[in-house]
Order: sequence, then structure tokens, then C-alpha cells
Amino acid sequence: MLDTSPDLTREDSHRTDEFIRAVRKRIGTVVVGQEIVVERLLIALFTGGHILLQGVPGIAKTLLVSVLSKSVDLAFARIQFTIDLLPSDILGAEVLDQRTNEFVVRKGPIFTNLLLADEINRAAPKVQGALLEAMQERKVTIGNETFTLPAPFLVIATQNPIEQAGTFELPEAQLDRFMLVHRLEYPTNEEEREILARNAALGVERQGKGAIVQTEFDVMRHEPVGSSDDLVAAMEAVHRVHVSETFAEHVVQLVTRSRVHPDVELGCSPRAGIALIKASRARALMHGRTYVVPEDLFALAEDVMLHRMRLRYEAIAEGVGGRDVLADMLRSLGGQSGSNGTPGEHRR
Amino acid sequence: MRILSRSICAAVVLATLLAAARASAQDRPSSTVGMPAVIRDLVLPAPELEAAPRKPEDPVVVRILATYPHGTAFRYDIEFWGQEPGEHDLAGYLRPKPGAQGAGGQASALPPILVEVRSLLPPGQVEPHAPVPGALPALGGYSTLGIVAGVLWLVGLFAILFVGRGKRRAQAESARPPSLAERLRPLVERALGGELTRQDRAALELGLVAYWRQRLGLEGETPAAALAQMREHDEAGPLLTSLEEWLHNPAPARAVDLAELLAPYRDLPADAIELPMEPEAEVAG
Repeated sequence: MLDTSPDLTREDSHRTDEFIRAVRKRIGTVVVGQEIVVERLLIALFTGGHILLQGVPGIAKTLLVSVLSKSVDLAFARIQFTIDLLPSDILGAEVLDQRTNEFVVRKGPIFTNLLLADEINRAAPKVQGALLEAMQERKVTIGNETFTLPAPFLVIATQNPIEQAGTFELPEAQLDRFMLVHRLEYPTNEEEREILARNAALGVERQGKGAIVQTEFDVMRHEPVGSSDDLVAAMEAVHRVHVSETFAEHVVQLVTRSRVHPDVELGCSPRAGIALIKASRARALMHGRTYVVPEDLFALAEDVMLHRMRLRYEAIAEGVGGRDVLADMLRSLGGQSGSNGTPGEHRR
Repeated sequence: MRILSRSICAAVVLATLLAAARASAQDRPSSTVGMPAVIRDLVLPAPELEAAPRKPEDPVVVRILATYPHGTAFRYDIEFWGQEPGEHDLAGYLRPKPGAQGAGGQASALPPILVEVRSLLPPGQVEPHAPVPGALPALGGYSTLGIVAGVLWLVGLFAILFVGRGKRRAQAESARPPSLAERLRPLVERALGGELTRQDRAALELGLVAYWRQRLGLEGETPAAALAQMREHDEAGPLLTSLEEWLHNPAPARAVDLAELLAPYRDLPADAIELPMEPEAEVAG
């Protein structure tokens, strides 16, 4: 066992189970499907990690984060990243108070519990750097004064992977600050039909002499289903989920393999292992377990590890993708049973 | 004087008779015991003759080789061989041929046909006892013998089939290559007992996962989806989930039958799963 906290019991996790169920239900009233994304968001929320959502426009990234923030009694702020955004627009700045003729600190939108950094790759690198530094240190220095960010503090960033013009790709070192990077998929046909049906049911809302066509944002309920105490209890419960030595060995082996795989130029840092353990604990709790199992590792490996690896040029030229390499590493964890398991096997 | 002359006359007569008898004996056909001899052109004043049927106790065997008409009589070539030494009369071994002219006469009317069979054995040779039929064994007749033989056959069959079967099975067991279940059992037991190192526990668990992924054809699935399917599988699921609980749950609740869990691995070769550890090695200190 890696931790010293008393192990979580089923009785202890009852309150957290109710909280998770209520949040999921609330999100489900607005967002169709996306169960995995909701799970990843809650994992990030419970572990204090940050999450980057990658996906094409129009698959409810922003809507999802908005409804999550309103489901929990947390302070929420949204920043739309643009090319002309300045670090002070996020962090805050010292401004001159003309009445007192003194500089006073005006805190930026980063001083919140839940920060939605929309389209983070549209901002200049210095803005990205300022945000990512604050994410890591959870402190902001304005002028000569250092301020601690509120707790909990979670950044949920979104990024459109297909638009390259006018964007600044986040380097691996800065991507490493995100505990999870989740790649959203298109909804299934069934989910798509449900989305259309719900949207068609939205009406027109009169406002004065005019009217607006309602969107999903308009029908979102604003009263939270969980308090900050519920969130703290969930965070404490996650920390008490049991992690066996065997599971830790799986994590060590997987992270090590990312550093020696022939198709990988830059492997995962120790931070990846830490993130795997944290995220696995939260996932175990959300699946009603008080201990982590290899399924947690397998399910979260892509979101935790893929953005922390850089493939070799030769592998990319041969059409090898990061998912192929990661799947290969996961298969090789079990030794070589038959033909599989050899690193780089997918290329032959 | 008269007595003397009478004695001399008697001696002369006796000597003459002995000489005549000796000469007669020397002319008669002879042979040794068991060796055939042939009397040719023997004219016998009688209807046509044939050899009488032989009786086992007859000391001489007679066979007529050829018969020729000879005036009102017949001339014969007769072969004989004696079974016992001595002087024998072959006339006793002939009889008139049935249907022959004058066949109603008696063979005893024939003149004696004396032959001599000599023995090559030295004088005083002791002859063996006459064969005496012995008593049958106490088992009884053929039916009893058959029953006894049948019983013995059944006993032999039973012995072949069952006697030493356990020993042979044990020998076969020892000669048979170990199955995967036999290889896994000590590993799993040691894993449960905390005797395996953490590396070996991890290798055992994910080795099983890799094996079932390949066996169930889940190579195309994502590792997480494949593992979820394995956990639901009838054969793969029990051991994987049990091992998962034993290795990861700080308070495993279930007590299960290890033999039942390893049943799907009973007929698999021991090298079906590649595991880096061996049962004898890598014991945690």
C-alpha cells in the first residue's frame, strides 16, 4: 500500500456516491451522452488536476463545463482565449486608484474555483505560460504581492485540434501541467437523435418587445446539486482509495516502457505516474470501488500519457499514431503471450 | 555191445535230424525287428488270398505286394516285417479274398509260411512294461476344464486391466508435461500468501490478461475495452476478477475454490502464458 491514510470503506463513500450520482444526473439533463467526458471532468475535479478537452467545435465542450460548474456550488469563470489576450487579463494587475493615488491589486478571473479556458491554443505563448504557471503553483504574483488561488482550483481548457491558423500549439512541457487531456469523440447515432430531439423542443423566449431562440445554455438550471462540502468529502474519499503495490508496479512498468519504446522520442515524466495513480483512485471511487484495479489504469492511460509522449519522426512518417504506441505498451505489460506484446509489434 | 550200437544209431539219427532242422531253419525267410523283408514267387495252393486286417497286438505285419495266377493256384510276392523277435507263421495273417473262387475254404488249410524275425538287441534285454492308461486328473472332464480355463482367463484379464493401474497412472502423470493450471496454481497460491514480489504479482496478473486478450481475439479492441470484456467472460472472468480482488483489495471478501478457478487452464500447455517468474524462484524475502 502506498498511502498512510485509512482505507476507504463502502460506508464512508456513500455520501460521495450520492453526490456523484446527482452531478451526473444534472449534467445528463443538458448534455446527451459524453459519459466518459463527464467522468474525466469529475476525476479532475476530485483530484485537483487540470484537464484539457480536445475536440472539434460543436460537441458541447463548453456546455459541459458550464453545467458542471453550476452543478457544484463553486465559483466559476470563463476566459475566451484570443490572440490579443494579455497575462494581466487573466491574472490581474495593479491599477492606480485615483482617489487614494495608490496602486491597488485587481485580481483577474483566475481567482476562482473552476476556470474554463476556452480555446487555450488561440492565446499567445506568454499568456499560456502565465496560466500554466499559475496552474502548477496555484499562486499568482501581482506586483510585489503573491496571492494564493482559491481552493479548489481547477482549470478546464478546451482546444480545437483541427484549426492551426492563428493558433499556438502548447509545447509538451506545458501540456504536462494538465493531468488529463481528453479527446472527445462525435456522439453516436442514438445520442445524435436525442440531441436533435431536445434541441427541437427548445422554444422561443420573449424578452421585452423582442424574443430569443433558446439554446441549451438558457435551460440550464442554476441551483447546485452539491455543496463545496460534498466536493471536499469526495476529494478526501479519493485520497483514501486503496492503491496496492501491485497496481503501483503496473504504473511504474507502463511509465518506464514509454521511455524505452522504439517509437517514442520523449517518454513520460514521473508526473505521469503520479497522475495515473490519482486519476485511477478517482475513477475507482466513481465506479463504486474502494481500491484501484488494472481496468482503471487501462482506461486512463490514454488521457494521462498520450500528451506526455513525443513520437519519433520515423514512426510518424510510417503512420504510427500515439494511440497505437500506447496500446502496444499496454499489451506488452502482460509479457509476450504469443505474437503480441513486443514493443513496436504494431508496425510489423 | 548191443546197447552201444543202439546208442550210436540214436546219436546219428539225432544229429541227422538236427542238421536237417538247422538247414530248414537257414532256408526260411528272415529279417530283423522292424525291417521289411520280401518273399517272392511263393505259390500257395489256395483261392486268391489277401492280408487279414491287422490287430494291434500282432507281432508281424504282412502285406501282399503282387498276386499272379499260377495254374489252379496263385503265386504271391509277400512283404512282412516283424514287431517282435521269434519265429512266425505268415499263414495266420492271410485270408481268402472275398468273392474269390473257393473262398469258402479256411486259411488254416494253407501250409505254414514260417519266417524268422531276429532281434538286434542283446540277450536278456529287459522289455518295458506294457503301457497302462493313467487316471484322469482330479479336475474332471472337459466342461470343468473349460470353466477353470474361463475363470483363469477372466482373472488374467482383470489383472491386466486393473492390477497396477494406479501405479501406471501415477507414472503417466509424472511423465505427462504439466498443464498451465498446474503451473499457475503455485504461483497464485504464493501470490495470495504474499510470497511473490510485487514485480511477479504484477507480471502474473497482466500475463493472464495478455493471454486471454489473445485467446478471445480482442487484439483489435482498446486495452480497456478488452479488459472489460475479459472480466465478463465465463472462463476468463473468474480468475481475473478473483486475482484482482486478492491483489488490490485490502480486505478481499471472497473465499473461492482455487481448483475451480483454474479449471479453464487445466488442458492448456504450461507455456501458454509467458511469465517471467518460476515457482521455485523469486520468493520475496
